[in-house]
Amino acid sequence: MTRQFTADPNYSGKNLPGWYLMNTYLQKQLDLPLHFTPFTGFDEARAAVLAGGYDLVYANPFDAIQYVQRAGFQSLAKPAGHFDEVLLCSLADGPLQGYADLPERIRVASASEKTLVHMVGQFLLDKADIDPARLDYQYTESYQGVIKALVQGRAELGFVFNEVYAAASELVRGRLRVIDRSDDAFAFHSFCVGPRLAGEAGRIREALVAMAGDEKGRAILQDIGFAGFEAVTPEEIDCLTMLADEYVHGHTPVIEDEPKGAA
Amino acid sequence: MRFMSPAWMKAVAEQWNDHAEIQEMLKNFNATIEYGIEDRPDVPPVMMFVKNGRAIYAGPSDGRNRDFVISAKLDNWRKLTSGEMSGKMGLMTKRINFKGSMMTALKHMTPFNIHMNIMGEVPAEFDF
Repeated sequence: MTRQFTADPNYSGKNLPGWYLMNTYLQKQLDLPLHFTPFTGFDEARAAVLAGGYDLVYANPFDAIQYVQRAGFQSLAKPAGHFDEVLLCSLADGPLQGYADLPERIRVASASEKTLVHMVGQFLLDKADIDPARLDYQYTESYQGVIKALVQGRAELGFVFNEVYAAASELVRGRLRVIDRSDDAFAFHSFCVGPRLAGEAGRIREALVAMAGDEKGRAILQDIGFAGFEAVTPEEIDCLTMLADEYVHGHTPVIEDEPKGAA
Repeated sequence: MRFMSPAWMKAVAEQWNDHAEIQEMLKNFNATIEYGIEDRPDVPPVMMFVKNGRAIYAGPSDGRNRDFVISAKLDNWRKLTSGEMSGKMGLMTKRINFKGSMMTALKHMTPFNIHMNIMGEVPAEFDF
């Protein structure tokens, strides 16, 4: 039976042929029929996976946690030595050179409110003492849309995912000015398998981790912009779960045990 | 001075207040942070209360509500304070047991790591 594979929308948008090659590579390595379907928007992709239509997903950190919690997925492998970071960008030939140049009302382009990129982008603005009341967000459903909004003058600032910036053409990067960037090295995308592929989880993880040691695997890794994949640990997922529960679901952590010094 | 003693906590707080980078980065930060040693229940937890970035109380945990509880085994505390393990690595490997807002922790990861460095800069006796 053919299993269904998809990737976080920004990745399929970044290098779609590379992801089709990835699908073919995994099919051969695993001797498992796989069909790759790309999505163009975060909400559509998330809904399709949560509806049970997909068995293997390369997911952004918060979506991965939702798939684990709500759809019985397991997070298997992540890009080696690589983390999700955010670049706060403006237009290179525009008037904004730094935080001090921001107008009173600030239009901010963001791909999706439900992503770690959006959360960390907000952190950057908050740490720069930008009052959130000055911000008008525009959600573009993709990081390419964020760049487009900047280039077309529809936003003063944009939250750009580091991978998308790195993969953009020199021409596009030249049109952007990076005002600030995160350096948290904390969250990551990961390959997640659903319940129908649970029995193959070990083999899939091994195949992904072994890619960097294989000539064909290395070529595909280069296409999709990674040096290799490494196993995700349960502790890493626990940390991301705490973060996602708080941000996505609005669960404020409560310290339940009694203070030790309580009378 | 014994590690995790009230006197040691006060010395950490003094260095915290003297650290210009922490003061700048945490100027709007308010929290009560409790610290403990998981494998030494005989050592009472200590705490620091931070208001607008300044530590205004440091000493024994006094029963007030905590925003964060940070605990680890003594050996992991030794690794953290010696720089052998970063605060972030401790969090992500669960060698630090962290309770509280992970969003706040991520937002303030740089000062958190500086805090761990400060803990290591205060001379402390670990063999007790």
